[in-house]
Amino acid sequence: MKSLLLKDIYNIKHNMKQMILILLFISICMFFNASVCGVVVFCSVLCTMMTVTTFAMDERCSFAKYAMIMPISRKSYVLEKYMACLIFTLTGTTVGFVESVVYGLFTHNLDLTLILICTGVGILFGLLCGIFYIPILFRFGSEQARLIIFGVFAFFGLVGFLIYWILNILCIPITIPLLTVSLFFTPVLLALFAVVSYFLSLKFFQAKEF
Amino acid sequence: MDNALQVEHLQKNYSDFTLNDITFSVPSGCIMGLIGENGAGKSTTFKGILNLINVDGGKVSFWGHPLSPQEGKEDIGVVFDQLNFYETLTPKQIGNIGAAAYKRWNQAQYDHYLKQFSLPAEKELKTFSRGMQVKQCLAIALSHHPKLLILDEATSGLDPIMRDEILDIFLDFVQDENHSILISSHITSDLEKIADYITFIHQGNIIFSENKDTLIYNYGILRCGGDTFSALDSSDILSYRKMDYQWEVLVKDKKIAASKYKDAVIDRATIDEIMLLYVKGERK
Repeated sequence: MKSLLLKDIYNIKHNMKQMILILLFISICMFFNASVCGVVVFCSVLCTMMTVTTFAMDERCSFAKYAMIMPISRKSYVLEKYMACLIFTLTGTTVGFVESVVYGLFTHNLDLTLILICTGVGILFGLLCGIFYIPILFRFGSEQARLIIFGVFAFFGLVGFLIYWILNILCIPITIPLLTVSLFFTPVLLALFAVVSYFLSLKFFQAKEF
Repeated sequence: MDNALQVEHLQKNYSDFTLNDITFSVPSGCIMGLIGENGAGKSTTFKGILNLINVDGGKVSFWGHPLSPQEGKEDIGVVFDQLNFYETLTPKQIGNIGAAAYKRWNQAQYDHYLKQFSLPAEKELKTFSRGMQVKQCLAIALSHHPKLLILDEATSGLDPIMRDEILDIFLDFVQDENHSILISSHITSDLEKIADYITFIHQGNIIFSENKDTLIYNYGILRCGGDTFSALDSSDILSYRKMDYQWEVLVKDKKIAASKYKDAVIDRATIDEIMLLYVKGERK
């Protein structure tokens, strides 16, 4: 597991400069619209997407085939992708958090509660995306999965919109306490979702031939 | 003599190809060369041996045991026909990955191989020539004290000098009688130099698995005209083909054939010629 994580980090390190530039550029654009939450979630999701890049890099050099002749089990290989996803998401969210705090301090408009809630949302949304698309990557490979992932984001967008619409119809305002309560429940659902996702990925990867 | 690797009745069915009843063994301390034309089933055999495909039948054992997902793989070093690390990695980073993966990883030995093979530790793999890539693969494969090397077309695409250098490394490896090598190659002259045994796969079937010296010193190519060919005993003919002015016949024992067929010319058969006659020739 450690060797696989190292490999993914070394691989991604090469793209780090571009990634930092993209994060900074988009964040600055978003801060102009005063979208603190948007910045954190964006940083989180963008970094989560690096998991797709690790799949693409592995595919390009048939690394998975090589990993299977190393003392690494198929379970470890699958689990490592989830670990990498978690690390990338947390890194992205941390970057978004720091950017938001710096922006708040710079503009004398620091709302730490909002930033923390947005950080929670960023982590959960990033992980949700990762957990959803890792089995797709194992099943279809990175090329096809990229297209499917657009569908996944559209799906989540639609779900979010539906929730917002239903709450509107029921005249339930989206308040900070409501968001906070939701944030406490979401990790449980996310954990369940992660278990299902892991077993699906393992099933796909165990059937894979090299 | 114990077998480092024993393959018994390995079977894999694809819609357009079948690997059929593959059985051979690699004794400890020996080099087994696997030969065959493109698409004959060599790589599929390797994949079956290494659990990279789900086989439809048969048994593979390493030192008498099935390949365990972790411990068993420590004893095996594999080199495929390509470098399986992303092109932006460096040998140094690969060393760190290897150290984290293998319990018996020997960093000093890895560094020694990098030096011996003149591989720059900090340079990205994409700058490496084919020869350097093969050497990089070998450095990884040799640095965790494997007892068996499995090499799939490891020397293909290399110039003769580089190949010779790498063959020396293989010969050096089997100086330890507990070490063995299973190597597939199109370049049969390489196998003639280093292999102790040759297994020939054709269209998914094993044609023979023989001691190399038996092949080289006993097998022969009988060249004769049509009349002599018609008079040949079919039990002496392994394979034959009609050339422009003569018949070429592969015989299993060139001395017996020479004493039986005085009119024919009988030459020593190279592995290439044996393979060619089996693939292109006909059988009675």
